[in-house]
Amino acid sequence: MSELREFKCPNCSGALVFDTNSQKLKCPYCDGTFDPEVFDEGKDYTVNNEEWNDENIIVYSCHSCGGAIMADRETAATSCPYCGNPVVMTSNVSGVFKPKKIIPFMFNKKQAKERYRKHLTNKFLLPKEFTSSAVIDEIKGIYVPYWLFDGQANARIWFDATKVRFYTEGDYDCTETSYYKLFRAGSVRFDDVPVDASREVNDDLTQSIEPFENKDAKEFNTSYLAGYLADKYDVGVEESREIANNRIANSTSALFASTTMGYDTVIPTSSSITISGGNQEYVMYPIWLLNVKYNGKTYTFAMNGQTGKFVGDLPYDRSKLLTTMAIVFVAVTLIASLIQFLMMR
Amino acid sequence: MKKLLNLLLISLLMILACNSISAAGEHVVVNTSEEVISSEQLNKLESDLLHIEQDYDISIYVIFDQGIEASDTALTDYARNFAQRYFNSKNNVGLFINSQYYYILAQGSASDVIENNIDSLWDEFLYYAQYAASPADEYLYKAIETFYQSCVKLINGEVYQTSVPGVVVATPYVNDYADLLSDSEELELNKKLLAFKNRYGIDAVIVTTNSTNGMNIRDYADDFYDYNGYGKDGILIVLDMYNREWWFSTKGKGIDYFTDYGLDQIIEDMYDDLRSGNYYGAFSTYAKDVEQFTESAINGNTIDYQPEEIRFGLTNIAVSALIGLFVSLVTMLVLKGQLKSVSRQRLAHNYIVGNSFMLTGASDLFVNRHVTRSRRPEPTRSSGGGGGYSGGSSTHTSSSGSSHGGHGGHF
Repeated sequence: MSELREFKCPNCSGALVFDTNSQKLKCPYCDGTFDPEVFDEGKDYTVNNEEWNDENIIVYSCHSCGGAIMADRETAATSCPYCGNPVVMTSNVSGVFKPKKIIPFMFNKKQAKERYRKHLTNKFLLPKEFTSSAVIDEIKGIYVPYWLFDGQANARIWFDATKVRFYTEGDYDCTETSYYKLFRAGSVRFDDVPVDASREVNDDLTQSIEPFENKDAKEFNTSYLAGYLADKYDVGVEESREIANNRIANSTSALFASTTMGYDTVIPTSSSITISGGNQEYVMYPIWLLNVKYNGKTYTFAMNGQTGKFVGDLPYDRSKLLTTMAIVFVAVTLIASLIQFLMMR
Repeated sequence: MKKLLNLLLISLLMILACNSISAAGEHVVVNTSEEVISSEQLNKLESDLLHIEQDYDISIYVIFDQGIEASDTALTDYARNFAQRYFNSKNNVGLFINSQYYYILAQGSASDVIENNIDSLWDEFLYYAQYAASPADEYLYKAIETFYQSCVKLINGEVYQTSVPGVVVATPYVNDYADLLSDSEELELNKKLLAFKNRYGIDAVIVTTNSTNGMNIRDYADDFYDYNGYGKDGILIVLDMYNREWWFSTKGKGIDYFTDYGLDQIIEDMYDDLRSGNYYGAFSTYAKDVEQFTESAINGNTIDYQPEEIRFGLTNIAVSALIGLFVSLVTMLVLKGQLKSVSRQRLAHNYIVGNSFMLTGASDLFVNRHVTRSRRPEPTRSSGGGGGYSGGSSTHTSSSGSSHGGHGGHF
């Protein structure tokens, strides 16, 4: 049994949507705004999905128009495909699924599109047709579930290092290599290392739009989800912790390696890094996802809904690349030949 | 050129009769208080000198006149006036003597060799003249005769030993202390080198020795040149037979004319003869090369190392193509990099808590040290290969303070 929540405008009963500019719930019909932290006018509805056999799909019925809203088990917020009313699946954001914090969207759909267009500029090899003919197939603001991990890394790392000196002695060229064993021990603390807890959203994308400023996160309130999509986590804490600890360990190694100055080569030989503390927190971070169709392929872009950082790999124009390389090759070869020729005169 | 006359001679001259004889048209003038030379002897000398003038184009004058004021300036003035009036455009040598001084004035191409040997000539003259005190006999005649004969020999470049015991050999261009050459070979070489000197004004000297007196061969060569009256421009080769070592010392224009590379070329030409013991052949080559190189240098083509001309070729194009390929690949990477913005994050540097980094232990232990040495490739100086020449001549300063060029090796 799942529940749906809608946010009705207390003035006109219109469906409220979270507005990024005012950071408040806003009624698109009467322009009334309501503080999400105090808004509690939503009504819960129960939906029966006995007719549906697929256990991964849950069918809700929209309370505004009665249309069937089909959603994944993980879906925590969506909108009615018929009337567009935003709905929240309260059972997916309550209990163990209730996020502790949420970073509200700071950019709306229009701004995300602007960022997308800006992303396409100053890309020499981007095919012209991509800019002119590729269309945004889908754009969605989605609250992605994240696990945040804290941890203190205690490290003991040994390195083999060398210093190399060249000098001449009489008729001989000498190379003096001095070998050192270096040892570094210490600790460093990491806070709120995020791990994308949704399998649906590509981890490379979510990592590329990091970092999120967790200090600006708000206490979770379902009102923030109004008008956006949201998933509940489907990657467990332990699986996620491994990813976070890996990154913490890598960072710790690099940090300690940077304290070995003045050597020509430094190679870690053995290290023991233990990560303790390990508190985790369940949060939701805002991400705009864009799917763009071009030449039968879908290109996915992601934008950090808090900072506006926009990422997404783009295709390149093959013939333009080859032409450019050929021109550069010929030009540089000619210039280099000319310089050599002049220097010999 | 001016020398204080020996007291002995002064006393001698005091008793000579005072016979004033005009110099015009005469080569020998003897004007003393006493007759020390017969008119017959004078006639003989005159005719000899006339013959020399005709045969060798050398005019020699001997003016022995007590009437010239007894001061060196007066004698010098007298000699210069005389030279202005009577010296011709060829080789001229004048010996002027008054009661206290003597003065030797030489003009023409012979002047250097005469000037270099003034001491010897004078010592020789004096050796005979001092006996002229006794009643008229042949001493002054003999002294004058010896003087002009020595002058002719010097000017003709002959190696000669003065007939005076203890008086030094007139400095020739061939100093064969190791006795590698026969007398006739020495004479022949000396003639060539003298002719060379007369033509170009460059002293080309040959020294052979069995010992450099404990000096290194370079200093020996420089000192030999500096202290034996050679001119300001020259070249000298020393063969040290004991060490089988050779060294060239050059000076003045010689430094410019004979570059390090040029000297190597000369020794290379001489090398086969040197190795096989044909020293005359080797030194003849030396004389020939020295003349040839000088001629070449004067014409503006100093024999010097010409760096092999580097020609623009396929290698250069290949290098350019490699650079071009590299730059185009870098361009590709940069341009493609603009399109790439998604990548997995390996680190978590963004989430380090400020000031939480603590280094509680750090040690840098020195373990050991290892030195590898490799012999530096020496610039190869293969004969004719031209490697190792920077062009021009390397110079140093000798003990006398003059600048010398030099170059040497073993044979």
